[in-house]
Amino acid sequence: MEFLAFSLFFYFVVENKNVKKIILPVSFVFGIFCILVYGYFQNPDDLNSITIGIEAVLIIIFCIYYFFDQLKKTDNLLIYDSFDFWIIISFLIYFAGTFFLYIYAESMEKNANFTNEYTLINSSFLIIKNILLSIAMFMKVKTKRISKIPGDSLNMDWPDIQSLRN
Amino acid sequence: MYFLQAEAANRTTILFLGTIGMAVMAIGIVLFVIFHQRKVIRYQEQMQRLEEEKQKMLLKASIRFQEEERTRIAADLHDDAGPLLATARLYLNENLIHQEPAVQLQSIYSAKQIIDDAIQLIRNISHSLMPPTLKNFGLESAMSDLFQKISGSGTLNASSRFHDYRHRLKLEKELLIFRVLQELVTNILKHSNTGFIHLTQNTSGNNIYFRIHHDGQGIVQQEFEKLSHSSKGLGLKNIESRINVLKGRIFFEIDASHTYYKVTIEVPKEPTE
Repeated sequence: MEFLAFSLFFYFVVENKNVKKIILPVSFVFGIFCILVYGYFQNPDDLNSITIGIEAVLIIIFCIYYFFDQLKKTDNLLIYDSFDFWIIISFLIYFAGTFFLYIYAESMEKNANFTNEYTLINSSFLIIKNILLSIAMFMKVKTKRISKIPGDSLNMDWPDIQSLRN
Repeated sequence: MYFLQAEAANRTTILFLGTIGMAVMAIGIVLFVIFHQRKVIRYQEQMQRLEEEKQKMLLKASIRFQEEERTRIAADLHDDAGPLLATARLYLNENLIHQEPAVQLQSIYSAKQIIDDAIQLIRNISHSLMPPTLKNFGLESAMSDLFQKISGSGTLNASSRFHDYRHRLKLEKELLIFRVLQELVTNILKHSNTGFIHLTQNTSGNNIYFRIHHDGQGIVQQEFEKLSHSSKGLGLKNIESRINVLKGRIFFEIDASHTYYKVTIEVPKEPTE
């Protein structure tokens, strides 16, 4: 659900139509994969490191693409002036920070020390994520843009003027 | 798989190092994007400032040109039309003093001659402001007229050919294009020592193109930009400011064989309603 919600948000944020076309099938396939994993192979209450790991990697890839997309834009608008930037970095930092944690979580669920480490790391990144999401909620949308210079389109068939030379 | 198979103590170390590493990577990406974007925006702002300065310079040049034009018209009217009309007034005054019909007739005739001269002078001034051929018959005829006059001198071959000009542009737009072409031709005549000037017109998509070819000493785009940014080159600044008003573009080029120069003007099409 978390991944689907993020994908939907990402779908509206990204402008590239080709990437938009990819997001939907990826989300669909990942959704089916999760249903299969939790429906047939594992108890839904247990953690599955593989699904969480794939989710984290996909979200990190989406976030990096978002930054790449922003760098290509010619808007005269600072990236941190938009609320979507703060949402993206909240997810990026959270999923990057907890990536190893969730990878280990399944195999070390019963280790008491790990539970403490899990609580510490997860809570810290959750707080950071929530702070960043709160900043995003207080942002105002700005839409100042610079017009692009039109490209050169001079392809014409001019008459041979050599004959005019004296 | 190594991570999952490591000892418990090692796992904690790997977990913390991995978490810190990933967090640093994420923050690093964010900081890189922010600083890179700020750099790009600073560059864009610098470009905008330069563009504004250029616009100011063009505006100043345009105002200066207008003032020079007004001074010229004022001088023409004051130095030529003024004395002519004053002389005509003197002749007519003579009529009030001398009552003999022969003297009166002579002075009326002289006054008529002077008034005719004054009319011709004012007509010339008016023609220099708005060529009648351009107003009545359009840009094609006006350019053809201009080139016929140049060719008539016998020193060089000047010709024009309009390939696709079935729909006239608005008069204001035609006048601006005419002035730009006139200025270019004047510059070529003054500075290039050319043997021929040829103007071609064509359309492509939503644009109209005018191209002047000549085989004299010309300039290329970099020189044009350099000159139009310097304190010299008032004519070139006027060309640029008129092109801006037309929302068009101008290109100064030399052909691959370095035998002739080309000046191309691109203007958006907008037929008369």
